[in-house]
Amino acid sequence: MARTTKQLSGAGKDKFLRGLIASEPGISSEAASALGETMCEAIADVRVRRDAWEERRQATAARPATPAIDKPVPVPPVTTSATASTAEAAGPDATVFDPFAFSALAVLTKKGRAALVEQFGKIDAADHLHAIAAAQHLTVDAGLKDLAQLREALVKATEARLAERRAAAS
Amino acid sequence: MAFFMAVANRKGGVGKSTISVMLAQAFAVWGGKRVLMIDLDSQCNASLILIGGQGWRDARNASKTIADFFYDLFDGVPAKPRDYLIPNVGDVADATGKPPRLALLPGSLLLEDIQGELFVRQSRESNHPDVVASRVRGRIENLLRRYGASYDLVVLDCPPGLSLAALAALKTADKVVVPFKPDYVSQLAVDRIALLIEDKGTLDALGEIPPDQRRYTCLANGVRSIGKDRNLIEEIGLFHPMLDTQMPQKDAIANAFDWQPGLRTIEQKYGDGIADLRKLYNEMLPVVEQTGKLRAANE
Repeated sequence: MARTTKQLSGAGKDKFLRGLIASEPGISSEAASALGETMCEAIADVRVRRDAWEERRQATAARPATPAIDKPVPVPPVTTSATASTAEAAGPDATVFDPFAFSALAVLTKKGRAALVEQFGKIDAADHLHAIAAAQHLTVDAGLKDLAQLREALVKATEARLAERRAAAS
Repeated sequence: MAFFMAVANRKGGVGKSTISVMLAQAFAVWGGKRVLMIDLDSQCNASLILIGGQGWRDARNASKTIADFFYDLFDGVPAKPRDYLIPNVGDVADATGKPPRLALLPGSLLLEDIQGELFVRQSRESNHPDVVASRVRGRIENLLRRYGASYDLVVLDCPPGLSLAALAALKTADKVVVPFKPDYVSQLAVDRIALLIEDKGTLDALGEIPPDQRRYTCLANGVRSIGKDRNLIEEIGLFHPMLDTQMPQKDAIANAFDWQPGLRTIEQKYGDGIADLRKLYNEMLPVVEQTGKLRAANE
């Protein structure tokens, strides 16, 4: 049976804790940094769920540049509406993009196509749009780089997913 | 008349038995209710949680299982439903240190075979499979309802898939709790069982029933504090009523599956999952009590 938890200590533990706190919406980067520092000092080792660790690892790997693991990671808060603006706020090196910050399906269903177009329009990196596609089961051409085409493809893929769900439940 | 609460999902591994037992114990211990757990799943997990392996073997040897109950009473044999029950089950105590009023109709590995046999018996009266199936299901429904007079709450732990017994349980239930794990497959499974419960053909048709008037509610189980789970729960909730309570992925809850001899407090059993169980209980309590009051008013 696969192990579902992972023991972390030292730099790995610090990196995980700081990344976890920094990814939490609603915590400012200053607060996240201070809280991360305090927790890293106070906690000697942790046992974490493997999927949570994997998610943090992937989020860190997706960043354009990786800060030193034993230093606080300056990551701005990520919220549903602010996902795309994280790069503007703190620069590309400081951004951890969260491909789950909003559900494309939920936006489309609750607010309509125009709202989804607007939501994707806030994201200015093709890599981030592809990350959303991969994370939310939205099928788009992996070779697409043009932002406008990529956003439109994502909207259509979201519509297709909703149609698929309705068809499956009939 | 008892409130019948089914815990069902056609998908396996979503925590039906664990949630069933947690609710049964919470209502018996905290609510002081007379609770009956009916184990309709031939995997018999709820039985194993409540009476352990040896207790379940003893029940089978004594012919005190749901298969025996259906088999014996299907044709109107004058047996008493209560003779098939095991009283005061589980490994938690109430506030006085005594076993709570929680009884069990134990599950049986033979339940599916027995349903086939009942089908054959009934087919002597009709050549139409649909009619036969409907009659068998109706009989099972009537048998389940016979327990209603003696309890405040009857929890129906349903099997995955759609056996006649599962369909009867869904028909009988005043409320169906649909546990699910936040993943893409569960999304489809929840959609399908919702259509079945409300007897609708499409999600659009289902949408015509206001969420607060539906006979089912969904419960996210094994939730991790990651964005992926949050999104999936939101997406399932686009079409379905959802409990505010979410059961997190915690070892204490998973380990509650382990039966142990002797009594402990419910807090000891569920460890750091106790606050989650309390929240679930607090959310379900008004649902159960409101139905009871409505019934009393009508009677």
